[in-house]
Amino acid sequence: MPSSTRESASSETPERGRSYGELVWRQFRREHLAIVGLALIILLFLVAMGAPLLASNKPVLARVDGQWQAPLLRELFAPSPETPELFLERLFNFGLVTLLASLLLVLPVWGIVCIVRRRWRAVVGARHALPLRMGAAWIALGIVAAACMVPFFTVQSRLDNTDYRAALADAAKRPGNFALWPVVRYGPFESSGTPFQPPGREHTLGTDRSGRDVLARLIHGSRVSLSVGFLSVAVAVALGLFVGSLSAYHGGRVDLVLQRVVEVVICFPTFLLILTIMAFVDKRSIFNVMLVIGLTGWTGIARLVRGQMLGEKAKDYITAARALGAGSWRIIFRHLLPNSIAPVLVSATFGVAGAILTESGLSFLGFGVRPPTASWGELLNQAQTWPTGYWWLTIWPGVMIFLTVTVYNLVGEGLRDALDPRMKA
Amino acid sequence: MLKVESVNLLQVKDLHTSFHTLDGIARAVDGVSFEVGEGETVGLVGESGCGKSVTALSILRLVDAPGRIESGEILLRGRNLLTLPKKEMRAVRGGQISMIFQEPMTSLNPVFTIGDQVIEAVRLHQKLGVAEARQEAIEMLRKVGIPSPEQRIDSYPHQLSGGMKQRVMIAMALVCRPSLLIADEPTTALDVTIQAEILDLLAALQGELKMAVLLITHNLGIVAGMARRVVVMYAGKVAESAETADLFENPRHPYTMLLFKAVPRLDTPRLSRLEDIKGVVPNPKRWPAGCRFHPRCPYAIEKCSRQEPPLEEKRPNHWAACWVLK
Repeated sequence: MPSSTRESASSETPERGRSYGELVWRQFRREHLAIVGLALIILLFLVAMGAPLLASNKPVLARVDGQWQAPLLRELFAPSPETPELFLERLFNFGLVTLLASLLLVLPVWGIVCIVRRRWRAVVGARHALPLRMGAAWIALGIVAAACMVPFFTVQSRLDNTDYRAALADAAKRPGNFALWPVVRYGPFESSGTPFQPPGREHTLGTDRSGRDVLARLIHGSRVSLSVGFLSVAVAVALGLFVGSLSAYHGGRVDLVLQRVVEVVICFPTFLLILTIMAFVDKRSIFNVMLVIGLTGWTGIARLVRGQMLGEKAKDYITAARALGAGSWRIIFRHLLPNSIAPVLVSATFGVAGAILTESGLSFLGFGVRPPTASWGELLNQAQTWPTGYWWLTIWPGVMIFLTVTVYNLVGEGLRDALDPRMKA
Repeated sequence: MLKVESVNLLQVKDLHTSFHTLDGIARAVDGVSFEVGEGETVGLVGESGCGKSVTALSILRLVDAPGRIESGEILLRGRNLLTLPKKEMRAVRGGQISMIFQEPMTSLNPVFTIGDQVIEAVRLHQKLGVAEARQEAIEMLRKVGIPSPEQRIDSYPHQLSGGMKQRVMIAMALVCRPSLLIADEPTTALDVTIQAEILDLLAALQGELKMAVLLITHNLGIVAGMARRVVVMYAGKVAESAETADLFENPRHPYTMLLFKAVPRLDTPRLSRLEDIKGVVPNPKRWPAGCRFHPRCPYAIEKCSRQEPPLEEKRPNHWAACWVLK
């Protein structure tokens, strides 16, 4: 057998290696601003998901004269009114329900498992680990999510115009009655005050031109803004990765043609294109906006991927993989992509910020979401008539847009620094 | 061409590979023929830029655009690899012919564990489950001398030294028991003690797996120790080809002779100068007319610049392409 191995590590057992992701995460944790940004993004998404629990004109739970009511539940499973963005509402509601359900169900189970594990280790010893894997947790989560989907298909939508505020205020005078309300007791669609009411005790951030509560609309509007950023960039990244990797891997004529296509698409003015398309489409919805932002925004990513991959492709491990008989798809997806993905991630984070800005601009011009759907840009649009007078319609959504875009940019920059090629293990 | 006792595993016949660039055609490999018998080690020797690596890549059909294999035949057990459909060629790569590279630092994918990569190599050619393939990979890592492979298999390439990485590369190349291993300067990037270990390892594994090795190197010492026969390449052509001992004792091509003189030796007087070969390998886009070595050759006669010398059998089993030396 082969001679003794002098360069081997001295016999201590080697530590489990850190994967590339772990290394990046370690580096990313040192970027304090980016960590704050990441926390804020998570918070924003939690707010967007929990919007019905934060602002609604229906109580979460109420007990009126011995009867339990939960009028918000129907609203949650079957959102009304019918807007083109209903799918989005359902998506976020589903996320919320799944999150709550898994917190209620999985976490206690997980806690028990952890305790059992510790006991097990104490008794049996660490050598024979309890045969439980993270996989089990994922499967449990999947089951919970599937179960949470059921009511979304079974619960019928019904317009519930009961004035719970008035009814429950009456009921509250009688003993034994109680109601658990969302933080803001106004829904995003109801006219609960007089138009253009400045911020005050009744409506913390004021009301808009239809007398709707601005805070409620801000909270619900975050759903549109965040998902525009996310989904349009997802479209752009998918397309960009596909075109970029084909271009880099095949090279030659394929590369030539694809790069000319990229150059043509780069010339499209995104904003004007969306305006034109929105003017022609009869069922205007936010999904058109996402699609167009995605379909025009992939070019930068395609070029990034191509450049990165051309560099990686020249390295020996690609030749080695080919010499082992790997096919082209395997080489692209298993070997080239993971090594070229880093700058794409950074670019995508910045892209999210850009897409949110684009959507706000469109809604500001009145080409974004259709009423009565709330979005930050739509609030800005309402302030157009008298921006200084209705300052609360300018400031609050402006602050939200500014904050979100800044936060995404901070994360992007942190990611860029963390992925720096000079990074060392 | 060369008669060997053993059955011919690989026959390269009149291989031409060239690169079509904007400023001309570079004929990197220009009519190379040689053979490798079953279980035999053949050294492929020459300066940088004389077409050794392109020959190796041509055998596996891995020459990238703008490079192109223009003509010739590469027969593996009589089957021409150059006319094989892509899918069958993929089965040959790594299955019957494997290759290891010069630079172990960049020859492993940095984002996967070495286990992932060896397992991938197994599963590309054998229908095995992940668990079985992992077992196979651990066995192979043990064979190439990775200590405690059960744990090491989960290491990332950056956790290993250069010598260890080269061992992993060898494991990946050999895990499917190929009948031919092309080793393209397998030890050039390693330091001397580890070079010796890797070469010992290759020799041991060669005996165990009964495979042939095409050893590409510019290190004549390695060739002397490992190869049974040597093919000396110069400027895209075979200059000389003979049994190793015969070649070292009695070189029949001026290039080979000068190569030997350029190797530092312990038995020469201390103050004597180490001789080098004047000049550099010519540009492959403009090979010199006649014998391609004649501008650098001290023995060159007038005929050398006009007519290209054919590869002739100067002595039994000893072929060389030279007008002057008989």
